Amino acid sequence: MNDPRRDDRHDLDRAFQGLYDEMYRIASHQFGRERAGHTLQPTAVVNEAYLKLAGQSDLPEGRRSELLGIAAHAMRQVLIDHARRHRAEKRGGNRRRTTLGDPGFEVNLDDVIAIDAALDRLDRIDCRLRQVVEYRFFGGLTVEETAEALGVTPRTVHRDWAKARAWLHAELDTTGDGATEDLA
Amino acid sequence: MTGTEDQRRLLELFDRLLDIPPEDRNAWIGKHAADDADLRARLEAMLKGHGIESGPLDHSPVSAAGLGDSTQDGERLRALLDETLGERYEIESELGRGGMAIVYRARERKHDRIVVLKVLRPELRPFLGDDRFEREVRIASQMSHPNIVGLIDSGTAGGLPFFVMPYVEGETLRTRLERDGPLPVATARTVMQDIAAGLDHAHRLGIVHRDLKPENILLTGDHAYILDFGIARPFEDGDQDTLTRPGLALGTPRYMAPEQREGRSVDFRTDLYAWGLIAREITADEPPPAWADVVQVCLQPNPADRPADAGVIIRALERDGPGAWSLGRLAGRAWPWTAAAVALALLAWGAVSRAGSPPASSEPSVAAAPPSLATPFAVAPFRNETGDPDYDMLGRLAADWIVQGLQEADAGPVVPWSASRAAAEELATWGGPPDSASADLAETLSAGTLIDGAVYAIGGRLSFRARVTDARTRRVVSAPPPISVAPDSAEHAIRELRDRILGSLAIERDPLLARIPGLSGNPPILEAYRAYERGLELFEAQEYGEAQREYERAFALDTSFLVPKLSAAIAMYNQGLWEEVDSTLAYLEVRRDRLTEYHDFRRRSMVAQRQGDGQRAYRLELRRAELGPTPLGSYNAANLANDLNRPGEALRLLSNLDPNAPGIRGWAQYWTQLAHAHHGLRQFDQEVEAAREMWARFPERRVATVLAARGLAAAGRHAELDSLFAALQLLPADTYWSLGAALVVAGEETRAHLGDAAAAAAYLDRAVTWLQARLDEKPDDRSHRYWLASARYDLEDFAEAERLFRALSTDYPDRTDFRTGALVASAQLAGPEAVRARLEADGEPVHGHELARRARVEAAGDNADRALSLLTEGLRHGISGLPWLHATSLPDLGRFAADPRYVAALGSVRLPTAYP
Repeated sequence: MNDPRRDDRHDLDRAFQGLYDEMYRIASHQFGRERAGHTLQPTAVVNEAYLKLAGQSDLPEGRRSELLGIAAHAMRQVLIDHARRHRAEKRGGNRRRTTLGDPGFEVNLDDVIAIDAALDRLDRIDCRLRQVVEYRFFGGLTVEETAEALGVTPRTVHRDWAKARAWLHAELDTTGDGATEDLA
Repeated sequence: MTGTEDQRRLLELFDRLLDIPPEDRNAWIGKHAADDADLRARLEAMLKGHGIESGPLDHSPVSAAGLGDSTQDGERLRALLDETLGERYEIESELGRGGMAIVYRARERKHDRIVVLKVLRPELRPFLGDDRFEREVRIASQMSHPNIVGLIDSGTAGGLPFFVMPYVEGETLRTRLERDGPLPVATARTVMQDIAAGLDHAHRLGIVHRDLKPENILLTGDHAYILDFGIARPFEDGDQDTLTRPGLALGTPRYMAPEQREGRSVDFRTDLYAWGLIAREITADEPPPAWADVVQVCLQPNPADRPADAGVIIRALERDGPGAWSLGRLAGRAWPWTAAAVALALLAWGAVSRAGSPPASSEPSVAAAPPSLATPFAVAPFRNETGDPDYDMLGRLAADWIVQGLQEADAGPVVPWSASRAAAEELATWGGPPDSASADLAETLSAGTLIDGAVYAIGGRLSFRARVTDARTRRVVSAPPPISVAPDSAEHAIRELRDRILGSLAIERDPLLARIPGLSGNPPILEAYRAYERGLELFEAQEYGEAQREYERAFALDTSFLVPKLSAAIAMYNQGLWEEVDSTLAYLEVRRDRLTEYHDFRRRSMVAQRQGDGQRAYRLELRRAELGPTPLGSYNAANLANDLNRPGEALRLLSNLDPNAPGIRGWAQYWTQLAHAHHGLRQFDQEVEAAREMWARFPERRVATVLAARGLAAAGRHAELDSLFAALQLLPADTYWSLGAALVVAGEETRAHLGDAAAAAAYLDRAVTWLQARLDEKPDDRSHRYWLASARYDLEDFAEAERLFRALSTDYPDRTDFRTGALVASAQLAGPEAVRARLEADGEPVHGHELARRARVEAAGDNADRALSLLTEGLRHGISGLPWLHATSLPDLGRFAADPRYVAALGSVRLPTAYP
């Protein structure tokens, strides 16, 4: 698992590969630039990608919801890359606190890595549950945006979220940190 | 229990479990997983996971709010505030929660006083722009008025914006109304007058409340304070998404003006509407007859039909008042015009409001004026609030004319109108709110004093308002009263407005005063200005012929309007119409006393260029840049330095600018010139960095991709070049700086700097294929035709190159680069003699690029001495586009690459080897 971008592109429409790369780049740029006190925003990532690729035939206006999904996926990758880098630093003896998110509302990096790994397992069981978590947790999308992106009702998203959340909590609880060892 | 099927079954069961009432769930599990201990354990684990109130999944790394519940957020927020603000404030208790903020009562440790601390609800943080909050708060904190509860502190705590304001004992107007019902008339009048006075003060500073309602009015006895001024703003603007987010509906529907409800633009008149509603409410719908009218007018659905300012309300209520309402009650507002009018007839019109100055004495004087205004002056285009886009032009004319007035009055350094205009347009594309746009503009232009204003349509007339603001403190120094005219006499209003502004500046800067009567120019007639603006647009689109015609039309319509004449000369220059240029410059020289010094420097630098003295032109441009201080001035000078083959100087000029400084941040061409300078110094890796940075900052500026290709090719970084081309394939093709252009440039540079003819040919062949395919679809695409012709020439297919360039030159006779291509290709085919007649028809060459063109023609005939002396001569003039010349001229001048004269002019390149 040396290539962090290898395994995570299963359901990306081929036509969107270039766009995905672009969003990944934008998200890492934003993240690198604004980590102090700011958050990644899927709409900002999408808007910037739009500006960049404006006029390209692959980007019809009406598919914005789909783009949000791709942005969420790119953001997941950026966050995971970041988390792994920091974990590597930590193992290298740097013991500083490794968290993500706004100060005061930080998220433990190990949790993020564990969730990411568990999410890959969830994907093999139920792809949509994986998407719901990815969009909401890593993409920061609202229930409504997630519903739009997946073409389902908000009610379904709520339900999926409850299932995925319970499953992941159980999964993280039983497997603990060990499940993430293969990622290091 | 690891199989995928087992897991699916687990999830299915859990889905059903969710429909079971919580208290029955354990029993349900026992029943449905009776004979499968593993499944049972998993279901129980999931149920436990479901029951976790706040687990890792509930704190998204990308959402400040997390997904946790509000109580926990509240506790975390409180802890966060203690941690971040604890040194300054001791939080005592939570006073309440509003839609946007959580409000605490706190003790300020330093002054040991009770304050109110409001902090933005964390879940709203993602919807707030980056610096919008601070900017708005900075403006709001300028307010100091007895009827406004101002801010005493603000900032961010752990990323969350907070405000601190004095704790004022009292009750809100809402509480009073609910307890006592409608107020007695005398009290109502005082309260409404207080509110109007507070509004008037804020509006003069350009601050709109936007959420005025009885809940935001605080009463102490009968004295009213407005709360939360300027705070609504930061939360309101932003992209459409923000506005449509649930829970972010701003303003309180009941007190919203129609334009606010409908999401149209909001200004001070929105507050007047709310004022009218409150007035009606506190008098139980029966305002005293004397002010029923003004209430009625405030409640007009169309903002244009409401009063022109809150002062109108104050005066209306004053007439009704028992005399208790006097100027004295307007403490905080200075009324210095009485004495000023006596002293200076010129200023008889001028009401000058100075926010925060001490209460007005009855004898204000000029001596009491604040210290001299900071320079440079900058003028923002006036906002068009008429609702009719046709009047946008008036806003620009007003600003342009005030700039010229300032230049003419020698008021000090003035940011040139072209720079303000460009910066304002750029800012406008960010879609920021109009008020902050002015502040942004001042910052972008590093202005010391900003003049801005707006045009309103009120009752069939146009009303112009302007104000002068100290850009550093955001303090309004002067705000002449509005000027209202019939739409067809807008020029008069603009002229008067300019004189008023200059007059008000004269209060601050005495020596200026003497110069004002000398102001000669009247604003041009509108039709002339309109033509001038069309000319500017055409010029920017590089349609020089069309631009010239519009400029000349503008001048013909109003011959006192000299600037378009100067612009016409520049357009002629770009078309190589030398006789016309010279006669226009001669015309302007006679009338140079009617040009501002700034414009005169431009005239003189053109004269210098016409005389072939590029160096003097460069010096004049440097001085012009000093006069109109803007980072863009240094950029202009760097541009000329690059054209004079002084990349080191260009680099120094550019290095003195901080690319993140306001004014350069938004200026893409900075990076172009930086890349050119690096290329000229053969610092290809730095060139690539500059191009990359440009691309990251200005994704729409495709020239960056070609600059990157140029640097990568020259550095021999072919693998990166290939991935760049792969990326370019994804981008739209219909642009000048297309993939085809990048391939051509890569080919040229590969041959020039690596001497690798085979690799160069591969790029050029690929360019030909790509460009030809585009042209098969759209044969008349000018850009693709040009690059195809260039590729053919680079490949030394001179016959095809000549055919293509000649056709282009016929279709676009005013394009000198097309003509150069055709002539040089002809010379390659038939020798320089064959084209000399054509060249001589152009007359004596003066411009650098003409000399370079001749040098290339001679080079094609292998006349080394003639070619190189022409090139050297051309360089003294400055050759526009010089940074590209060494590569484009490889098949002609390139044969002398080893000659020291060549190296002195174009730098070192390799002698071109033959293509395989």
